[in-house]
Amino acid sequence: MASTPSLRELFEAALPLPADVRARLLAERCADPLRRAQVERMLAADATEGELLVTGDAAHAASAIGETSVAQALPGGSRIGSFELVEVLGEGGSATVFRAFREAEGVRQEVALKLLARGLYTADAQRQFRREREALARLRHPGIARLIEGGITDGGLAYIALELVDGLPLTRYARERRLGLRQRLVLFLSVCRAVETAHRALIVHRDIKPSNVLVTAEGEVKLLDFGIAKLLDEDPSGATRTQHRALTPAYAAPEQFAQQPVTTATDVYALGILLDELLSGRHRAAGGGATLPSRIDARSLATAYGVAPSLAAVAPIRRKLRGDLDNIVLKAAASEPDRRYASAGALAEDIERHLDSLPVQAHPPSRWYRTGKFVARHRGGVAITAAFMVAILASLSIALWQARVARHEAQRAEAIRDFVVALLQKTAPDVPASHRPDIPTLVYTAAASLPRELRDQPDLHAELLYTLGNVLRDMGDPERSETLLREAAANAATLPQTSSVRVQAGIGLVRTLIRRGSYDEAAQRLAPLLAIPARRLPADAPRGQLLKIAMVVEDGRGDMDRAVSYGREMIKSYRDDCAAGLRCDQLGFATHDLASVLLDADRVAEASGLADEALARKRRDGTPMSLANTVELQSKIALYRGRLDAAEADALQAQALVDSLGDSLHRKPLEPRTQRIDVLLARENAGDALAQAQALLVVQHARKASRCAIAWSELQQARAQLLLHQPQEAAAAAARAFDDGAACHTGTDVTQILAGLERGRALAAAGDRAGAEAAYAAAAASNARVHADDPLSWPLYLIEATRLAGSLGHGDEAARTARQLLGALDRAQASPSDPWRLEAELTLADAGAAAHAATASDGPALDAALGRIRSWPVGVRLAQWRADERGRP
Amino acid sequence: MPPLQACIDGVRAMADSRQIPLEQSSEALFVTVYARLKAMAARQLAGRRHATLDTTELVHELYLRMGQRDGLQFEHPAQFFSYAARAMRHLLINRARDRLRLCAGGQWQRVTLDDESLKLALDTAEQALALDVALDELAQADARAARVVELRFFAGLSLEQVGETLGLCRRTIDRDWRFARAFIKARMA
Repeated sequence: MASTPSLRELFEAALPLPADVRARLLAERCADPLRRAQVERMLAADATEGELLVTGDAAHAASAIGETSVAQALPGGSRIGSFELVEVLGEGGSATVFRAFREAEGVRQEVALKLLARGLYTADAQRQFRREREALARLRHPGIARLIEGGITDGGLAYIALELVDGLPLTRYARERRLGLRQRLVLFLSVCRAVETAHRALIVHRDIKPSNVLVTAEGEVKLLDFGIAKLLDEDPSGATRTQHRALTPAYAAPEQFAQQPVTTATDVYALGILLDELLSGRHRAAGGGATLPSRIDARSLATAYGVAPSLAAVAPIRRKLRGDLDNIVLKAAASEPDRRYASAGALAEDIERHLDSLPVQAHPPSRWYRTGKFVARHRGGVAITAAFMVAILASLSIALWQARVARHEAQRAEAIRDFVVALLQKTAPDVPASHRPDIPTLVYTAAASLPRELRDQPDLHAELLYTLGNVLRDMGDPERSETLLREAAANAATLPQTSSVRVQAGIGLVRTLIRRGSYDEAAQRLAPLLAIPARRLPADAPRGQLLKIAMVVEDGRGDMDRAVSYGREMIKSYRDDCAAGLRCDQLGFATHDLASVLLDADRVAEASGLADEALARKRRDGTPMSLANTVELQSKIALYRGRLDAAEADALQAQALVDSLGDSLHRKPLEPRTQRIDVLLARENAGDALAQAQALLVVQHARKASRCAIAWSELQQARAQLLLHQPQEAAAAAARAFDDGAACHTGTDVTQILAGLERGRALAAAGDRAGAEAAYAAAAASNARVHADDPLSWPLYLIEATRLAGSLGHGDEAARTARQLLGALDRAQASPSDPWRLEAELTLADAGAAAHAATASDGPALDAALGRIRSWPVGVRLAQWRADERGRP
Repeated sequence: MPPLQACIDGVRAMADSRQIPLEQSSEALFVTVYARLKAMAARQLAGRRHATLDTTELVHELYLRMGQRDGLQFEHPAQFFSYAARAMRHLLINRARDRLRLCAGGQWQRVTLDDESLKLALDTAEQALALDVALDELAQADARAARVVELRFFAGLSLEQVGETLGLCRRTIDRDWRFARAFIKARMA
């Protein structure tokens, strides 16, 4: 035979043949004896009568096998695991519950033993069961019946032993004890709290219903079967997927029917249904109607509360249900999961708010509603006689105002909660650390995906946007801050010009523009805000604040006169406020800020007076950090004015204030340390200055500080090394400072000019005259710029330029810068004993400027100065010069 | 073969070699059909243990209900009957497995049924599992014949209706059925 015939071919060929012919055919065509035997068996079977199964077709067979009842199969005395069964407590589709007990060391432990109808045959299913069981065993809460044990019998039957709770279902308890509405709500709060605890452990109940929420004789709530529904449920990927899910239709959320993922929102839904039943006595049919609890028929209500079934008897209950409680039930049991409360805790909070007569989140906002709440809360305050009509009217207007705030607050609280939840979801622990976004990115993406319903409320939306935009700016991401704030400002453009949100969005954007260096646009956007009369501005954006920003903007644009003028207006505005008892704390900041601007405007003497006031105010009520800022400012002013003792004391104090913050500050500001080194250098205490500058550089590098800040420390290092006669090292440090100074913004690139100057001095000291000359020429060309851009560094520039010019033999130029220095110090009312002043005078004297020489060599001022600085290098030089002078004819 | 083992193998084989490949969305439809069927069977079987339940009646009633009340659309009645057959097969096998499990546990006492009914129940359960295995083997040998068995035995269709459903002439169906019946009976004997 060419090919082996198939089983079917053999069978069908043999079928019509008589028995003997069949045998011959099979012998011929089927060599395989096993195959031949199979065909013969089939032929014999074909001859028999009857269905495939003795009992008939599938349904008949199923009927004959019957449904197997665990309860009937396990009479009292049967054993499951270490437990002996006592009686059946209940039987459901997917499990049977027995009262059972075990004896352990003479103690009889009674439990509720739940036998799962579903067998766990595969290793996977058993592993899954054990994992769930362990999670449940860890769930401990007084309001949740504890899982005592769970296991799988040899026959593949899964069981769990739970704390045996002797109590009544919540709804029945309320009915039998005739609990009032408030008592019911308080009981329900315990249910929510227990559910919330489980949710935090990532365990969802999935089957909350009255029979699973018991109240003991002591009045304690106990939730049964937490997470058990999941144990009962099928492995969604397994072969048994087709079995029904464990759910109770009347309490199951729509997503459970739709076989969509079950989440904590599923439990919130069931809690809503349970609350409805507790409050109204109604049993809902599956997917049942949306009748409000307050509209339930009188009989249900009467039965639930144990009152007479008359309209009059239920009317007070109805009245209390109407409004808040109706709305809370509606929100909790909303069909769409996202419209429900975000958590069981949020549901509980709303109920608590209702109990405290505060506005609930679930209520559609209405002015009368809020006012009603206010009156209820302040019943003692507003319910007064007709004689106090005026007072009532006043209260009412406050109530209306508060109502607006309260609504806004509640919405904002909710929006922010959702926002934070969304944020946290993105940092979920299952996201690998390398893929977790940094916080500014998180904030930005979350802001970009703010929920849609928020976009229908431009004020709330803009408010969130500008808040987040401000956060991003303060976190050092001005670029994305700008994006958010531009959107906030655009959204707010539809709001009234003087609304808080619109003004705040504008302020936020201006601040970010300042940070981005876009001073001109900042000024442009600030102008309409400045045009609003002070009395029409929102309370959270006083005019003083706007003026302060205007001052900073003008400072940035380099228009110092306007900046100072805005600053003075700002101080006046805050002084007026303070006189009216408002914002007096702001005066400390205002005076400090104007003092800084005055320093920038090279008006040191004026700055000093304001800084003193700022310090006095902040000493009364400032934070250590803000105080440190002002003390450091004082140190700068003192340094400028040659009052080195005061400058050093202030720098040390600023440092101590910053240190007093302990570890509460993630990154302590380093400015006080920089200031201290500047003072040490002015005192020519080079050893300490060098040590501290180098230590500071280590910290700055570790922190990846800005190159501009590092450049200043390198400049200090160079200055110290020069004082220590280490010209090579000083030149190198100055060169580094020059390179890093390139990173400084325009306007602060004075650091680079100073570095070039310092390098020139180092080169001169090392004997490289050509290099020194070149460096001097470059630095000298920037003379005017230094004064314009950074008046605080002006004296340093002048003294170093004078020294370098002197050492290069450019006597005239040295005299010129010395004169400039004396002019600056005079304007600043610097101390007569300022060493730099003395040095400048010395230079002029050397250059033959007799007028200055006379005052310099003569008089008690120099004596006093020399007394104090005799040991300093400059002091040694002065003493030498004076001796020479006196030796002259 | 030990009944429990047969049951497990049967379920696995069924899951691996489905006669009707299902799309993801069809899977959901199937789940619905199964849940409905199970509920209906449970209701109809409850309380009348010795009464007979007709597969044809059950499946057809389900078909009508799902079309009218749930508005579930099947592309073709054949699709529904294929699901119904598979669902019925699951139902039968699960029952058989549960029945045998209760008796295999050792600690169980036979109190549910009188001895005669219990014997019938156990025999039927073991037969049902054997049928399940045989049907899988038949599917390997002749897939179409196996489908005919499913539609006839589990969905309760007449051979005429099976022919209409599969779009085959009656004579072919008759031959398929005869071969399938002989194959399964021989395998189970």
